[in-house]
Amino acid sequence: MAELRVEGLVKTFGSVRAVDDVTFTVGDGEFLTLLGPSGCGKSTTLSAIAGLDRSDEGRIILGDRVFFDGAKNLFVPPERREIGLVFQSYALWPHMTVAENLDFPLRLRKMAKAERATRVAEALALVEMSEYGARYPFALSGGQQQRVALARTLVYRPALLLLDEPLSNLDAKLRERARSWLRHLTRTLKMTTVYVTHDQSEALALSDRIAVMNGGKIAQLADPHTVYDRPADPFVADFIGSSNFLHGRVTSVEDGAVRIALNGFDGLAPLLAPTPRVFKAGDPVTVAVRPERIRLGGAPGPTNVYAVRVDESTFLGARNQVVVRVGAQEFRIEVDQPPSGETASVEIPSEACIVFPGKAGG
Amino acid sequence: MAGSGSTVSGSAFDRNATIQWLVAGVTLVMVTLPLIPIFYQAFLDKPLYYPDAVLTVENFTTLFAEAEFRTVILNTIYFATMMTLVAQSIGIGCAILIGRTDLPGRSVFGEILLWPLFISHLVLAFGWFLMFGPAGYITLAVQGVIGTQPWNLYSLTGMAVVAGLAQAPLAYLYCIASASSVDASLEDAARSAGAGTWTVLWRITLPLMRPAIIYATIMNFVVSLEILSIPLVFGGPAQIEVFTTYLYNRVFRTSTPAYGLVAAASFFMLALVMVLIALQGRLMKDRGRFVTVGGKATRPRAFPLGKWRWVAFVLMTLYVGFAIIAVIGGLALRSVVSLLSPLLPIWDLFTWENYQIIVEYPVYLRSIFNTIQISIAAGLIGTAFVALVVLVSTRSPFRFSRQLEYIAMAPRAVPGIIAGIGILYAAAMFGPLGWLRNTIWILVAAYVMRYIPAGFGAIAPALGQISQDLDRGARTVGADWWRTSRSIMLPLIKPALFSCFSLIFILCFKEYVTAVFLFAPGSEVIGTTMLQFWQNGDNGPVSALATVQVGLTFLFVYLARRLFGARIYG
Repeated sequence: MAELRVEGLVKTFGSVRAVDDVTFTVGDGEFLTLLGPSGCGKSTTLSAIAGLDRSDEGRIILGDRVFFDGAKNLFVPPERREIGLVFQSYALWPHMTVAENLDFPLRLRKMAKAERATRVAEALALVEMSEYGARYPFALSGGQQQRVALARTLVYRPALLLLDEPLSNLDAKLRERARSWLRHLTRTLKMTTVYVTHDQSEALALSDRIAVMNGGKIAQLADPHTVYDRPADPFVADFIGSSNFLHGRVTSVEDGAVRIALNGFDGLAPLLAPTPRVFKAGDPVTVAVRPERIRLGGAPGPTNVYAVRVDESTFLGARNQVVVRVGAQEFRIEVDQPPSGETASVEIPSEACIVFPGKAGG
Repeated sequence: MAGSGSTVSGSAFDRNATIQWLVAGVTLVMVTLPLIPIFYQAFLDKPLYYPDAVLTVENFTTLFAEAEFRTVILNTIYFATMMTLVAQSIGIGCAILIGRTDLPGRSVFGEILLWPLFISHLVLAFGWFLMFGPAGYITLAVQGVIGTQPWNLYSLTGMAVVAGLAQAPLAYLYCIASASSVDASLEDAARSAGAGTWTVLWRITLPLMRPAIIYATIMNFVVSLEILSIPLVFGGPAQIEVFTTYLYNRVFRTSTPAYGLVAAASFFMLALVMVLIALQGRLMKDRGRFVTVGGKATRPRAFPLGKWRWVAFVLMTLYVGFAIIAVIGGLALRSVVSLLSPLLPIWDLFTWENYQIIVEYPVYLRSIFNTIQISIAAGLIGTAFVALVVLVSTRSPFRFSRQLEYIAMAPRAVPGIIAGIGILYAAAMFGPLGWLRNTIWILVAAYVMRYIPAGFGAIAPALGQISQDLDRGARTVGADWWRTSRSIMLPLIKPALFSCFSLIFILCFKEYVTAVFLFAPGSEVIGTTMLQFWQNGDNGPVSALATVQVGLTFLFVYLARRLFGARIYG
């Protein structure tokens, strides 16, 4: 196992910088997820690590081996990198049985027959597919194919495991089971892993750390809790979970917190929000609040409690999404019990507010 | 851990780049080898093997000053236009009738219409000659009823109609796929907007087939420029020359072959065909306007022909009966009689003599065996080579992969007659080729070169169907490009490889134009032998030989379809 370092990676397609100066390190045995919407550069980054695409600038280093160095025009082809890549499509070779699929990488490494058989059996046992060695891929379900694809990369014990949206071709129920199975397996194997997905729940559930990507850059690189609770910018706040964005201006600055006059909250008490950032009175700010953190009830008056008009209530099964309005400002809340009347009061807990600079609107 | 820890930079030796460069290099040499001597000779005042030959443009000035050559050009234009017109109208008509209507027996017609594509033009020309020539069986039968010769095939129009009827299946082939895949909902939409059957056909169906029609039209026009046998068989006696027969006669019929003039004329023809092929490429560019594939696969509904159903059936039967079955059947009939005439009862003239002659004369037997050997060799070598070309040009990091594809497709623009002349000159120019000159291998090489594009067309779409992830997967688990190609890609396109082999085999089996210039005593093929003996007037043995060729072809096609599930022409 080894540490993966990606430094200043750049890849352009025509005039588009698909990967724009991306730098990160995946520690030995760490599980890192590249998370972002389609076109954010996560798959291009993965291809660059695998060696399937050649980047324009930067360096990629695994342990003491330099895979790519733009400045030195050094490029190691994928077959010399000793990494394992699980494709979104699984990419099982349809003309080979499951066992032959696993055997192929071992043959390439010129292993003795007996050892190959042992390794194949071990890898199939690891993914709980021992009985399926003689089957052809078309005779397997999606979930089984995904396990075989994983076994095919594990069988030759690569120094780095790359997973490209491996769960996205499974249906919702199966995906959840596959996710917890995969979580268990990777925790056991302790392999250095880079996982690419656009699904935030996969990222939160599986990762040691998450690199949220946007427009070819890393927007935030942190552990799942930090990314969720303290998003680095409004994009991350919106992409991970969802957020209400309230715009306003700082009215006064206190010790580690600010008071903000929100647009549309005319004549109401300013919102109190703690923040590590430094602001001064008059600064335009955007406050992100997650709908599930806003609470119903309480009498208006105390800090951050406001009277609202209920516009709309939607039953989502486990919870209810309610659209409420303060003056001209509309926002969403998520509660167990929807309010009964047309008016209610809500509390926006200070600790649920994340203050970003800029864009006051009015 | 299995990793070796060593790193390799792109500049170090690796077999992948070597193979890729080798494939590209061989392709380039093969494709340009016949062209270079023609370009060179066209600007030389003496044959190119003379050391004192000097550069000149005189060949072109002489050529265009010849009144004869100007007649040849006019003849060619008339012949080509007429032939294309006949072939396209019949071919498109058949495609619509078979692909879009409730014509009775359309699947049988569809199958028979493909037959002529498997058979050499030379055989077809002999068949037409035996049935519809001035002393042809059907000509004389009709003459017996109406008193005069009903038609004269020894004329430019006669030749063009024969060639058009012989080429209609090609137009049909290109249009049938398009006709039967027209999205029925587009037609239904027009119908629900109030359009009748004929309006829908004329305003919706036909315009949607336009890319296929344009493609086939240019294809057939190029064939009309290249076709040698029909002008040779029917134009010869009437002394009507078109481009191909002009070249043929300048090479074979004059006591001193006019190298410079032939090369200049070849150069001219090559330029013409290249312009046409380039035009075809341009016209096919914005095909999106005609894409009829919707999200859902809809089964096209057949147009009801109503009372016209049987009219169409009779017309189709007449075409298939006279232009295909009678022509091929006539040859078979002629091969088992000593004389074919409506005035004498056939059973009195029955004989196996023609086949006995084939068995007894070594040149007949040799040409059959040579043809089989050459076709198998060219099929195997061609398939292997084309597979490599397709892999390098579509599935490798090779820097000039796009250019390789262009080069590989270039022989499309080289008529068989030009390829023959070019290789003949190249053999005179380059020593080692002259050494191949008297063996069948020069023909194998020429055929492989000629049919790279056909093979490419058989393999590339199949390879394109295979997800990039499958080769990328192999690369990441440790296989280099060459290993991936052998262990993953080639096994996955096995059916396409069989189809490619079958197609190249058929094309080589019926080929004669290129061979006419390249065969030597000992390396005769069926086509060249037939031509030789036909010129001596030995119609019986020639018919027998043609029948053997057709019989072997059908046997091969049947076996290829049954055993390997090969797809030849759809």
